[in-house]
This record gives sequence, structure tokens and C-alpha cells, in this order.
Amino acid sequence: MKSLFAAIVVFIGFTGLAAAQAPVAVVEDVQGKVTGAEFMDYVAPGAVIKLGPAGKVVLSYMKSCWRETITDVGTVIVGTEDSKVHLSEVKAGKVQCDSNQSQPVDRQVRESAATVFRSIGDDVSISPQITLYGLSPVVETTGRGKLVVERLDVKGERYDVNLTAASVVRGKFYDFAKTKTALKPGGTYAVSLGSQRTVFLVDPRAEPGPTPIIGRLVRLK
Amino acid sequence: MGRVIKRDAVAIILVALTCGIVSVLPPFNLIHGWSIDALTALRWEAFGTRRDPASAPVVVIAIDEETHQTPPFKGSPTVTWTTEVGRVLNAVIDGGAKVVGFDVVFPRSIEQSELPFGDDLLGARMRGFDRAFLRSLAKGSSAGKVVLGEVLGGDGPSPGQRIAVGQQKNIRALNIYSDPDEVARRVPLTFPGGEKPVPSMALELASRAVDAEPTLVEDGDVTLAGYRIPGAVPNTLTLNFEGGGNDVPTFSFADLRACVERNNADFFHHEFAGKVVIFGTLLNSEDRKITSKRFATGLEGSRAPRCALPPAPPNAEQFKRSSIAGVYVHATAVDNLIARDAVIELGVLSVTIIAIGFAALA
Repeated sequence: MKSLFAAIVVFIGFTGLAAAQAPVAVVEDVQGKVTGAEFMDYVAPGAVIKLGPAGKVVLSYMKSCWRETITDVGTVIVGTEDSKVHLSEVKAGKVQCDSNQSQPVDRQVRESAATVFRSIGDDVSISPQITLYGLSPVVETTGRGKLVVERLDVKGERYDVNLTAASVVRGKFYDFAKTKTALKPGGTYAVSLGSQRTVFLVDPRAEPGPTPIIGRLVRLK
Repeated sequence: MGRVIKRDAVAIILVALTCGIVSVLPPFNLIHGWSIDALTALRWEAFGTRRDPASAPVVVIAIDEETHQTPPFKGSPTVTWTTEVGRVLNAVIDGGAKVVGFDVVFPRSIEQSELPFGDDLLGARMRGFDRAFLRSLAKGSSAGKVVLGEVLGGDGPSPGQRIAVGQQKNIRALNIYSDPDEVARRVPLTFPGGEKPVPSMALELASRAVDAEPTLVEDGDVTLAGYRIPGAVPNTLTLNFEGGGNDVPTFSFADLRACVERNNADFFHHEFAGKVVIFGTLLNSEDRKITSKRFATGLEGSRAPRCALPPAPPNAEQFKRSSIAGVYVHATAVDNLIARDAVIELGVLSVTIIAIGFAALA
């Protein structure tokens, strides 16, 4: 058994399995002699943590909500939902890590006053992400609710649209040309729906009416 | 002649009664909201600022346009700013802030990125990048001084951040209450929880600031340190905004980050000791809210005292908007709770009587 575990550790070391995967757990606590992990490290499946005498490490798995307190000399291999532990002592259990996201939210409190920084590439300044060559945008989104188009460089221009299943084409396209809504040439606008938002520039030579969709398509993200 | 006068008086009374009663019917509820907006603006125009902003119990640290244009943030994705956020957070807590709330949400860590990078993943190459930030959160939350925000029905902090702050005990909702005309005049006080209602971000920050647990009383009202929070809509606080753009002291995140670089601990102690601090954004297009302050807004800006960077020059392109940055909604709510001066809305009976009186006078 001991040799099998050692073989697994060696195999993982050679294949670099830990490095090639997204992290699954966070090291919540480290005490004593522990190698392979530090306090508040993200760790990926296959990561090997070694504990020395009086060593202690607490691992919290992000998806399974499984929390392990591992103590004393031994070796830990991080799994996807829990760890494989050799020799060390383990105390484990599920913790309440679910957010309130699953709670139903009343319509009146569905909106938030918050900024969500989603991922690499997010830029919440007013730099336009795309240029439209038609004055009436076509917005692509599968979301429903209040769609807002607001001019950013000049005060006072704003359009509110209540997106419903009936108001969109093929379940995700809303065409401002159908309501004869035309934006101003040269203007910088933000279109937003909930926490999705895209900033775009209307080309100074943009044309009115139902011009080719490819030139006025805005994808909300 | 006397009969005519008597007949006129009866007619006036009947018209006044009709007008008064009609004015409180549900289709006219919008007028009630407008009256809050109008009175907020009138008070601002008539009396101006009611107190020195420097004495405000709540301050905002703003990720503003200046931050986006200042090195090292300029051109860097916001998800990579976490280490600097952690450094400023440490400095603010060490400076004596009572509690720090986050109106910004980082739902993913760069360490979770699965973008390919050579033979590896970008996240794997960045391993350890968020360690310092998570340690800052862990340190602050273990002292009860950090509350992360989440959007119910939307995004919450990354799983690593959730673990760092000890899960839900230090995470609160940033949702706000929208009236039927889509104007934000109130914030929720609590949200449904597993065993008992969970305080909103504003109530949580205020309760930690005054060191008192909020309590639910029998009729559904909420009290905080003996203050029975008024609200015409159950489980909400009606916001009592000051006017103008300087009511909540606002620090530029870029300046504070530069201040940390200079090791100026005295500045943090001077500006943040005893304060409730909220990290938020102050941008031209992101997280803008139309509120009951819409007729009393001013030019917003990070105009609190500076530590390291010179004050941002006036922006000729900036104009007064009817919307305000969302972080000010929470900041005002916390301020109202601590100062015990949330708007007290009159009940239906009082409104009816006043409406009848005005109709009769008219």
C-alpha cells in the first residue's frame, strides 16, 4: 500500500498533473512543517502536500464544500472533491458554503448597486469596445428585463426597453430600427442589461434605418 | 345667497375628499415617490449641506476613471488588481477603520483561468497570485472587519474569497429595492436566509459599526441599537440623501495605492480611524443608479484629502448626471442607520388628510 501511494506521488510529479488543471481547493490554514502548500494558496488536483511532525493543513474544496483538517506526518494528494491522505490524520466534513444565490429574489430587489469584475479583458472605463455603422443597434442577448442604452459622452440621451420574449427575434435579438429609434452619429453609448454591459461607438457616418445587421450588432456580455 | 355659499362649501368638501382619497389609491403611488425626490431636492436647494462631510461616519474608496488611467492599473485587467486591493485593505484596517465593505465583486480569480498558455493553463502559471489578497481578506474578516458583497440572483465572490472570509458569515447582499418607476429610493434591510433573515450589506456594516445586532420585532420592523428603522415598505429603509456631489467623502483608489507605496500609515490613521469604509466604483458608465437624489445630484469625484497623487484636474467633459454611483446608495443607507435619520414616510391616513387639506385650499 505504502509503495503504491509512493508510486502515485512519483507519477504525479513526473506528469505535472497538478499544474495542468484549474484549482479545486484553497489552503485555509497551515501550521508546523508543511511543504507543497502555503496559507491561502489555490491548489489543483494532483498537488502533493507533505506534512512533517506536528504539521497541520486545512483544505477547503470549492465545489464539494468539503473541508479537511489534516494533521501529523504524512502525504496528501489533492483530488477533485476530496483528498487522498496517507499516514496523516484527517477530520473532514461538509461545510455550509452555498451562497444565498439559490434563494428566490423578489422582483423589486432583483437589481443591485454593485460592480462585478468578471474576468480578464473586462474594462469598465468608457472606451468603446466596438463601432457601429448603423444608427439603430441590434442587441443580442438571451437575458430578459430592462435593457438600457445610455449615451456616455453627452448628457441626457437614454433609452429604456423592457425585453420580453415577444419583443425579441429568435429569442435573442432586439432591433432598435423596428421602433425607429436612432442614436446620434459619433456618440459613445453603453448598453446594459443587469450586470451585462457593452460600450460602443456610433460611427460619425453611420446610416439610419435597417442597414445590414452585421454593421450594427451589439453582443451583450 | 347663503344657500349658494353653503352649496359651494359642500361642493368644495366633496371635491377635496374625492381628490384626497383618490391621491392615495394605488395608481397614484408614483406621486408618492416623486414627492420624496422633490423634497430631497427642495431641502438641498433651501438649506444646502446639513453637515461637514468630513464628519461623515462612512467613506468610499473609489475605483474611478483616474484609477483606470493611472499606472500600474492602466491597461491591466481589473481581475489582476486584487493584490493592490489587499494592500490598501490592510492599510485601511491597520488605520483603524471600524469595518470595510465591498461593493465590488470579483467572481473569479485569475488563478482559475483555464486559458491555455503554452503547455499549461494561464491560471496554473499565475499560481499564488491571489495569495496576498486572500490573506488580507482572511485577516480582516477574522477580526470582523471585512464584509464581501454578492448579488443575489447574480454574481458573488470567487470561491477562494468565500473560504478566506469564512463563507456566508462575512458576505452580504448588495441588492437594492426599485420602486415601480425603476427609481431606487429604498434599500432592503434583510433577505431570506436559512434559519433566520440575513442582513443586507448596509444593515450589516451599520450593525458592526455601532456594535449591535439588528433585531426583528414582532410587526416585522427592524431595530438597530434601539433605533426602530422606519419604512413605508416593509423590511426596507427609505434613503435620506444629502444633495450635491460631496456628501460622502470619496478617496481615489489610485491615490491610496500610491500612499501604501509610501508607507504613510499616518494618513490612513487620520482618514479612516473609526470609519465605515466601502470599496466601490465611481465610473461614468458602470453601476449608475437613478435614485431619489436625482434632482439634487452634483458633480461626483474623488475629492477627499490626497496622500500621494495630486488631485485630479477638473474634467471639462464631466457633467452633472441624474444618476449616482451605486456605492453611494449603500453608503447613504449606512449613514442613515448610524445617524438614525432615515426618511420617515407618512402613513395612508396622514397622506389622505394632507391631500384633502391641500385640495380644499386649492
